[in-house]
Amino acid sequence: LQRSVKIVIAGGFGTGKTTLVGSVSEIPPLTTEESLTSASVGVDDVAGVESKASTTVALDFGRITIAADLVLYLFGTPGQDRFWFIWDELSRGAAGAIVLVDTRRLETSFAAVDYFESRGIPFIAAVNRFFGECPYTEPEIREALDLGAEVPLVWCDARERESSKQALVRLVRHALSRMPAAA
Amino acid sequence: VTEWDDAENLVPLYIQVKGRTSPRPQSNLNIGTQVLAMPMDPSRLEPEARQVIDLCYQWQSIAEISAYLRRTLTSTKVLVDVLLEEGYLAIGASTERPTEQRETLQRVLDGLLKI
Repeated sequence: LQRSVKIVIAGGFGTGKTTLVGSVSEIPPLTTEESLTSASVGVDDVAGVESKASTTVALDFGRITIAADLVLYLFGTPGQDRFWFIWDELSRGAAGAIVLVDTRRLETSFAAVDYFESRGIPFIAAVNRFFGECPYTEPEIREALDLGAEVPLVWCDARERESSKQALVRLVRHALSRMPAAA
Repeated sequence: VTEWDDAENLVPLYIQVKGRTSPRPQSNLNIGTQVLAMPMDPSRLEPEARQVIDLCYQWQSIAEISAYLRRTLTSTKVLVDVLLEEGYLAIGASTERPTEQRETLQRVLDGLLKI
């Protein structure tokens, strides 16, 4: 039976989500769109917006073929945090999530940490080194993001295929460790 | 080739999809759900539906179909759902049972370590 596994790449605007997807995907990242009017969710942020018809949200994704019957999809969350209906679509049945962190703007990743924590979706935090020297230590970042002790934190360079791959490996190991042992 | 072959919107999309604005709940279509074209003659289908079939001679996700055809996710799902209902497309695994998911995730891990 054909199977697909989803991993969500989250983080605030400009944290390197599409860069990470592009560095490990076997195809150049694709972009798909959803129009807000066709989403069957009451997104309160758009209430009262006059030109709803033209409002679309774009998201980028890539794929890694694991085997003929198994494909891994990497979905980047939209740049704007408020489109929660898309986060729900991406997260339903997802194996887990990587929350990318830009140490210059830690606060842009708060929403993603909260989202996955509150829904019990396995996630790791990945500090994107792309932005240069990190002025913080790991405990400082953990405290600032209010990361639980069980949440792995890794350092990565989203531009580097190997580094992005290692972040994915860490996430999948973490997700496996949180599953009940096979009966 | 007649000019009709290129005619778009000869039958409006909302009629092709039976006036639906969302997929049937039981089809459980998600952005990552994969579908495959079945060996049926698609020549009687409207252009929009044929474009979907043309992409699906290999397994494709809803996201990929949506990106390649530049359709929104929801309109892609509705179109794919009708083609599933009519037997033009087959669907891959959807929500997985935890034990299967463990095995699947282990395969993903092994696969990632190899690339």
